[in-house]
Amino acid sequence: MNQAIDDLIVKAGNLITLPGVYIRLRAVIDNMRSSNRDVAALISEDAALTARLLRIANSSFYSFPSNIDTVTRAVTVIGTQQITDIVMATAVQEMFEGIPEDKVNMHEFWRDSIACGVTARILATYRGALNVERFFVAGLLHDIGRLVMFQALGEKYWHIINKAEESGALLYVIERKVLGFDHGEVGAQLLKRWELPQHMIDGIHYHHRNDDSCYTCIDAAVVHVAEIISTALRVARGESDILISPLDEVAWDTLALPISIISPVASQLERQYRDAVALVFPDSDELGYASA
Amino acid sequence: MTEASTRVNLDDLVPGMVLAADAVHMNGRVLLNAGACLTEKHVRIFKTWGLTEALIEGTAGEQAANIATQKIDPEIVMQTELVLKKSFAHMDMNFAPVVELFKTCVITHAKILAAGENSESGD
Repeated sequence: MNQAIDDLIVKAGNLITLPGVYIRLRAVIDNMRSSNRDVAALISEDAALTARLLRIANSSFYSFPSNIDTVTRAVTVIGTQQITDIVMATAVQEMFEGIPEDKVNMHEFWRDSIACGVTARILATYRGALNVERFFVAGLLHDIGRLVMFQALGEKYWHIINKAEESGALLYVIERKVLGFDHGEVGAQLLKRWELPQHMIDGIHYHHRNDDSCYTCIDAAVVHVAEIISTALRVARGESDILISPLDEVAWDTLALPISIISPVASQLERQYRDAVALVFPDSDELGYASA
Repeated sequence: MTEASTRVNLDDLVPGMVLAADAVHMNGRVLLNAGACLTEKHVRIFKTWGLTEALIEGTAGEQAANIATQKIDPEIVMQTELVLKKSFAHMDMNFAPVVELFKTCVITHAKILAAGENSESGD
């Protein structure tokens, strides 16, 4: 536990507690004896979530011939694992709605986060991982520490970002120099407060850490590589000219995937990205492409 | 064991290439033995099974590895490399996965540029 980081999280305010609905949902899904009906009952308690879920179930992504008008049917159609992810993504997105748009372009932020999540899921699929959705969530949340820093540090964080841009240095390097920790550590501590699983915390904690020992953890290795691939492709699409973090050799070796995987991962990312955006943020059409 | 063999990405495999090592699926199943001469059907089966690469005898593979890039106007490729190099400034350009990632990015970027030139409409 780093006290300075904890202070930061407290200062960031409203995001300290993960919405109860997510925690209860996890408990229901993790319980082998629960059914779709239990999941549906829980979701029905939240009117906004119910509306969103029905909209997703009726969206073109699933394109069912008939209207899906009950939550139970929506749960069956979408699947419980996907629902947890939707709930998580929705909850986290709403939590940060208060950040002024002139400070952070939230569309860009979530666009990049979704791309990283999708890439992490593709890499995990190639590795034959059992629960690939957990990698999606880890990728989705990988930069959440930055949002905490935006909220808690305000101008000071902008100075750090400007300093990095002016000197051509990587952001997390300057963060560590100025603050003594980086956004990965902040994100990890936030997730710890939310009592999310340890592997997810590790995945976010170490995604920029060039300390080889941590990359023997598969979640950290997947998020690290996914962040680099998705960032590189964003640059390739001409959407950004951001610096790409160096690829860690241990992280790459931990994945134990052939180099030839990179090109198919890239084309799968192009295909899955839009679907993922539609699934997580059904209302925001403009999220697909940078507004800038 | 052949001395000269090259790793070739699935997309660059062409009939006539000779396997330098068994083509093995990730689950351990051998799809085709070393020494086999690839046919179109083999390549199709590799694709179906989700194979991503094969070890090919000789240096034929080395030329093939660049096929994807060669389809695009070299001037566009050069332009692209220049743009991308800035963002890759902190990457180790001698590390094989980084080289592959860079190549993938160049192709992606060049394709977008080429598409933009062909039809000015763009979305």
